[in-house]
Amino acid sequence: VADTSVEDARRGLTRQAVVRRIPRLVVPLVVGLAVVWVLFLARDTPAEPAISDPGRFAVTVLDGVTFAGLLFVVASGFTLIFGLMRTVNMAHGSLFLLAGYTAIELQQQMVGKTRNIAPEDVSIWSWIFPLLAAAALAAGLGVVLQQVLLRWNQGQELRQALITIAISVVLADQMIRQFGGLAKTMVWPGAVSHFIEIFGQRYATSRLFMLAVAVVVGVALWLWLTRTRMGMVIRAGVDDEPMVRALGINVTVVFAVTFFVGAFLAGVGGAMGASFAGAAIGSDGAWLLNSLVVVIIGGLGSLKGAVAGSLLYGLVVAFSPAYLPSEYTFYSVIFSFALLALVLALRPYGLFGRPA
Amino acid sequence: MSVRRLLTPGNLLVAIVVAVLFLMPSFSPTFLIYNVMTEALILGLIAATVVFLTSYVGMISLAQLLLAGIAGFMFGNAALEDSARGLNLGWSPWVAVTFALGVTALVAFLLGALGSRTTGIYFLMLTLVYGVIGYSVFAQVVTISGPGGLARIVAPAPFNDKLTLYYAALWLSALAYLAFRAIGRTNFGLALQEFATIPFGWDRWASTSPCSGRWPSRWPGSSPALQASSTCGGAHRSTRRRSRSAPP
Repeated sequence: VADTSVEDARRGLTRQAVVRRIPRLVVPLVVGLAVVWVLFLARDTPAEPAISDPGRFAVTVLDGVTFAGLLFVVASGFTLIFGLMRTVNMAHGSLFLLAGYTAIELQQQMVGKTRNIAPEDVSIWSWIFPLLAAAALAAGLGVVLQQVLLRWNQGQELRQALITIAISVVLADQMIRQFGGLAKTMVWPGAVSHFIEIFGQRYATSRLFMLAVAVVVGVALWLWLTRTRMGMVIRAGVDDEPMVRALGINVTVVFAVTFFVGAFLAGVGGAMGASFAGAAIGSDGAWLLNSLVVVIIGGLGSLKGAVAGSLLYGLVVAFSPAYLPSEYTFYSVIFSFALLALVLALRPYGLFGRPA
Repeated sequence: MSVRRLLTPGNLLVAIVVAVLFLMPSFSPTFLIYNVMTEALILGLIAATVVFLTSYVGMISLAQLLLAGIAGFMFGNAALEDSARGLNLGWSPWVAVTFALGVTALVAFLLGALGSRTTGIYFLMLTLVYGVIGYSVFAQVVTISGPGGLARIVAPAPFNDKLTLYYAALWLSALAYLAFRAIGRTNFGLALQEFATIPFGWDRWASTSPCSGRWPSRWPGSSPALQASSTCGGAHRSTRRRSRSAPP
């Protein structure tokens, strides 16, 4: 009797294995079709096929990569917090938006005008100082949230997620009260707001500057995590938190520092996002979604995953409106979902993720 | 089951609440019934599905309101005839209701299948993403709705009366309550609740076997002898490769 059941189980496993192969065949097919479409077939689209308009193709790639830079800054904070503490910070988007609004107000104070600020009025310093101050504010608020509300629920992931959702709702209303309902924009410093010629197309240097800032943030984060004692402790905590605790390291302090850095990154992203696309009601939800998509694709808690997820999602966001037939451009949002579905079909915990 | 065993304080409380709700239209102001209680019951019905999924299956889904929205939009698209937006199919109302429920069930199945290998916090995040992307789809795709949504959708014949709609919502809520309780007592419901309480999720449960190296050591069949024996021979290479990348 035992033999038959083992045989049955084995047959079941084989069938399962066949079913699981299907995504591995479908994914290359879909990717291949997309590449062929973009290269040769995409007629009647805002951007013509890549072989007939390589300049537009290159600009779309640049758009994707620069947007991915901003995505990475925001999502890396999210993934850092989750990786160590298993806390899904649903208020990440609110910290992003709060920092954005704060940076805009500070910049207006520094320039001395509240409207019609020209890039020439803005020195590098009156862009960087608001960014750092707003990020510090977001980081401080993040630590307060963690110490006052989340610390007592450490290890109860779902409860923490629901608490932070509630916080984000409260913060969203308070920000409407404080900053009003109109969209505001932070102004890039004059030194970086130019246009340069790339492959025969005009391209804004502010986007390249944004990518440069993101690379600096990424390298700094990587150095911090791999070359310092605190980074080592955090990486050890990601792998085995009870063991780190048992070795006599004060994990509570490490948690607070990690939350500070994660919220600080949300704040840096918020100020960059306010310069890139403006700050408005709903930006918080949109950027929480962006962070979630990036970390679901890349895998929660992995810095490599945040890089890969940002690049993939950024490229899809840039390519789908440009290479869809003009009358169907509004379907482009479906492609972020398609990307998510493809990755999940292949790897349910993201490209670099592991089961929690 | 004897009547006596049904007479628990909890059941009595539920019965009293339902009785009060049934009698409410005869003594409370119509505004309260038409504009507050009906909506409360409808939202409560949607919330009940969240509670069902959470307590019986152990999955916190944040996409339940998306499914309600899909059903509403599909009904509007199918039933309206000369709206400014939407497909304006102009079908008869009950065909439209069937269509809406069918589409919703199909979408729910597809989204569920996609998320079925994730658990816990991952499932929560994934369903939140479903909800937000679904919102953007309806806000952007003008063929089915567009940013302004669909206006002037009228409920089919007996339910266009506000009092009937209230009673319908109440009956449905009571039925759903009983149905969830009944499902919890069936074999299927018991199996679901087992899944909610086992130490790890569906995915690992499904791919765990005594041979995969991931069989928890306190479970039967986990002796090293069995794992080394011929039944765990060269087969299941893929299972083994997966298991190596997983944490202990």
